[in-house]
Amino acid sequence: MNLQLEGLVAGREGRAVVGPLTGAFPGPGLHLVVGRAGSGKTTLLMTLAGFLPALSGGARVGQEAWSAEGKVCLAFQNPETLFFLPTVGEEVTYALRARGQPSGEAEAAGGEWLSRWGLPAQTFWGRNPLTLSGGEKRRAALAACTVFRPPLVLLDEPLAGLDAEGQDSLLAVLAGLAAEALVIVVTHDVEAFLPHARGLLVVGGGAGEWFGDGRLFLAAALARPDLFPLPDWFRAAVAGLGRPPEEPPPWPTADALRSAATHRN
Amino acid sequence: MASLTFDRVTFSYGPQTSPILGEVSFCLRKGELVGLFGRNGSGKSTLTHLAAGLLLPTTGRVEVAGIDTTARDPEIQRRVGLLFQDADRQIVGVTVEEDLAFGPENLGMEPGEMRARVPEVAGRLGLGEYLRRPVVELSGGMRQKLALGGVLIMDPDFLILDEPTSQLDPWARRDFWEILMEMRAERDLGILVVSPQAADAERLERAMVLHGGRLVYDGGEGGLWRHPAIGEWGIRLPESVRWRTGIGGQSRADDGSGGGRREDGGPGTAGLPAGWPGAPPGAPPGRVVG
Repeated sequence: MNLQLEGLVAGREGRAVVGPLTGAFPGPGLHLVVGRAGSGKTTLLMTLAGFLPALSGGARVGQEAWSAEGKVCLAFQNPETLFFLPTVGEEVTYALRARGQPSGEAEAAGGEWLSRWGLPAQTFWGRNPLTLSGGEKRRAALAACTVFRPPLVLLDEPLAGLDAEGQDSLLAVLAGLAAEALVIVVTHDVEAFLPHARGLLVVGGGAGEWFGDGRLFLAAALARPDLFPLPDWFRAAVAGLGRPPEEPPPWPTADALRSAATHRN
Repeated sequence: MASLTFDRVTFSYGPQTSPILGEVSFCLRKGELVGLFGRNGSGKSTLTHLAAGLLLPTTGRVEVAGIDTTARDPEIQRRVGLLFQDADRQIVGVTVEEDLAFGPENLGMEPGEMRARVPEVAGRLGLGEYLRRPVVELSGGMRQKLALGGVLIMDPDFLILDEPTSQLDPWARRDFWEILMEMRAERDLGILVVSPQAADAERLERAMVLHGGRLVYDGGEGGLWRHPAIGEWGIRLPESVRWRTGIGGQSRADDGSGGGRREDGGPGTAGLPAGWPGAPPGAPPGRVVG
């Protein structure tokens, strides 16, 4: 689905926090929402999820006004703190049973879904979720949130608190999820998600800035350090290439930069 | 020179439980900037609590400037500042001013000195105009600076920072490090950073690694990245290091499979885990910028 925002102003208790935003999150795909603390990223997610009313403007999918009911998963930071059932299997089938799915079907669908999150049912189904590693807990929690296959998945800082391994495993799964759903991620870890991102929105006053491609975002951030603080090493390495300003910057990997330097020579 | 030393420290939470740390020895000197790496559950947080005297070793000794932490001398709290990952765990005042004054007041600092120190420290951290502001009105980045101020106002010799920037936005992260480096230069602080962000790795002079409760590496930052076991220890090679040193070969995001991105800059599908639509074989792409 393509989610189109039209002058959307999101806020709390009648006070505008972010917007008016006009632009598109084309799906399926992964889109990032970036900005300083307090710039309204989480408020935007809550508005898209229908937890907060838009103060003005709105969103549509195709010609129809967007209605979030039953079509959204919104996971806040550390979703594993919400575990409340004794086994991973019960956690992952809860949302399906709550929707009236018969037990057998729910278990089959839940088991298949768990495997796709890197948690094979034969190993994890009967485990107490609190005994899993940090990365496994996060994936189990997000699998449980998304098991009913919503077309829109909204995630607030999904990598927070995970070690390198946990982050890599989750990034790989989220890239897979984004192949079939619209996934919008609020994050400070832009660099980790950038290779997977189909688009990026920088919020922070007024209309925000939309980028349909990671390289356009990188070019803008290189030209305007106030837009986003790229790491010093990347900024210095690109400057060292003596690249013409109209050329898209190399991807921020050491190899991409070396390759760009080699081709130049 | 004052130092913080661990001498064959073992720690267990109870007599029947397995040790969290085993025979850990190291010395943090004033002026040093050291990173402590390790997987979740490797014992890093326990080590920080031992260093600040909040936990006492089961066996072995922890000394701060020659004072054994088992003496429970309040001087240890003054000399070692511990900053938690979540600043809210250590903010106790209603206003910025009250919070900064809390530590000195409890350690009996002269009122005159305290009145001078509070605005000075607040000013250095960019909080000067917020002294009367309730702390609940501060942003996450400002609360982290306030927590740092609550530690720095004690004029410590050592700072133990537990993932200090993991909850900060990239702008606040940059500001935090600038302040920290200034303070370090002025006061010759010895700083131990637990689980430094990849982007912060190049600031380090020395690195230590905990693995299964044991200190398995203690040496130069450069040597860590060349160590053959860093994968086993769960440490990701930052792109900044890869660029600077050429260690590590190809990035996982550029593993030659075409994964991670398309030529036109859009996202690719190679490297997706099994079971997802369009997932060809290949390793999942990893981080890009370090």
